[in-house]
Amino acid sequence: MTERAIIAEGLLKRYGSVTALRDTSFAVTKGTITGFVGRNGAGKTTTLKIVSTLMHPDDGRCEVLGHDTQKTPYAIRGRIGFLPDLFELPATLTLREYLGIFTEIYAIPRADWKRRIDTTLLLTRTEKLADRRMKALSRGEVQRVGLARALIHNPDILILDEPAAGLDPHARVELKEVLRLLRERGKTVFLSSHVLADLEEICDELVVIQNGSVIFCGDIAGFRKQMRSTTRWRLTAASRPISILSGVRGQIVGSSPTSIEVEGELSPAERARWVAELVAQGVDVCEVSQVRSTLEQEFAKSIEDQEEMS
Amino acid sequence: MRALLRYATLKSLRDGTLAAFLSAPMIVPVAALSGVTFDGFHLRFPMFLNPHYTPAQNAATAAGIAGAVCALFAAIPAFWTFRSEIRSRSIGLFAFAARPVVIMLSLVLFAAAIGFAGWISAIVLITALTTTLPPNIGLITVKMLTATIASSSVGAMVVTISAEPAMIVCSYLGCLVLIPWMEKAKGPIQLTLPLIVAAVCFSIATILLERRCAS
Repeated sequence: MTERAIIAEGLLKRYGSVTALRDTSFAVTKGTITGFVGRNGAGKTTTLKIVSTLMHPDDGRCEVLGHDTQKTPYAIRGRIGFLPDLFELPATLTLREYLGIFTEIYAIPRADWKRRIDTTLLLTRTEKLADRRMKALSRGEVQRVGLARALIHNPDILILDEPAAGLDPHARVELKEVLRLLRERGKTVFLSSHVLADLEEICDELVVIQNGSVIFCGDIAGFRKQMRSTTRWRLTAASRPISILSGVRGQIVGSSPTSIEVEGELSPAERARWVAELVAQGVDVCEVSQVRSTLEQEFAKSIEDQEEMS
Repeated sequence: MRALLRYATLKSLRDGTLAAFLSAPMIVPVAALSGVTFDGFHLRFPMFLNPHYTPAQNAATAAGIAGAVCALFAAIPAFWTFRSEIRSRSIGLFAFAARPVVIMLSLVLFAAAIGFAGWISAIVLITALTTTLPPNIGLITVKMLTATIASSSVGAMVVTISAEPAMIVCSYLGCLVLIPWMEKAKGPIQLTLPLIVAAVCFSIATILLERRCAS
């Protein structure tokens, strides 16, 4: 049986007359990296704050590692590492001092302090920053320092709010590597992000939120399956123009002088017949490929569908 | 709590505010004594605030000035030390490791300790410059202890209401009532009044801190 690290059921949260979350339900599997996707103002940060026990929902319940976030918040707080979207670091302290203070607050045995700090520095690749005062750090460095602070007590769950925001491509690659490493060590990572390409690469599961309601919760393949009604095929020729055959069941969705994109469920036999006939006409077909839409496109489509429905 | 106290001490030591918080209660009475005594560029010792007073009366007046400054200045570290963390909501990061009540208690104790240390330093200097201890030093010290706790609780409450720098004025205003109290309070009931004020402010600050973490 799949073990759940986080279970949210029917969450409702209102800020005055604005409803931030309505009947939000989802689950996060233990030991996975789960992406939390939604537009600005969709309710991502509110959800993450409820999950991390900083905020209470007006209705519904949330369970983290078997503990109710409202009834036993302090049993949860010590077992999660939280990285908010915006935070400030004490500029006059070194990273080693900063982490040292958190090891003490988390009541980690004194004998383990040095080992724990060194391991965290190594894991988050912040060794070079360790003895430097935390001023004039780049955005990527700040995020890594934040991650180091979130990991210092070896939490079971890591909750990250937009960790890739403002990071350059190199820093993003590094962040993904760290998250993969954490998954290998059995940690559960729940992260919100706008950079869907990054989520697609590292996430096992996805929770999609729209206007305060979860519209999808499951693995990425499932999300694609739910969102896509038809498959897209691209035929490319080396030099000559391509045309669609009258017998091919599909709709042209894009074309260029030497390629054509068709949306439709084309069987292997249909694809073979199409290619054979084009070759017979003298078209030098060089590639037939299935066009894989990005998660970004799938997400945009799901949002459009939802908006059309509403 | 020890870690939070260490954090507050390290932070204020490095940015220079600890030295400023500690020295202000010493500078003001010493400046007053020096200003009067160095009249006409002639150094006179023991120093005085009024040439017609006895050394003990001069010491008592200087201690009164130091007490007022200490009471006001205990509110400043309470307001200032975690101000940036509260303003940026980074204080929530500490709330994962320590309960808000512990964070607030650390802040109040840190600020009260600074205020009280400033008082002790000021009294040592006043005694040295006037050659005598202020009279009723035991009672004044008890009053100062309660006043600095009340004052730092007011500062802590104000910063959780709003961490804007201008709010420091509200901390001052909140502590101003302590000055006439320090002059008049005598009995045990009067002496515990600031502690009641401190308890109320501390409770409000703790509740507001929990809300700050959530916002």
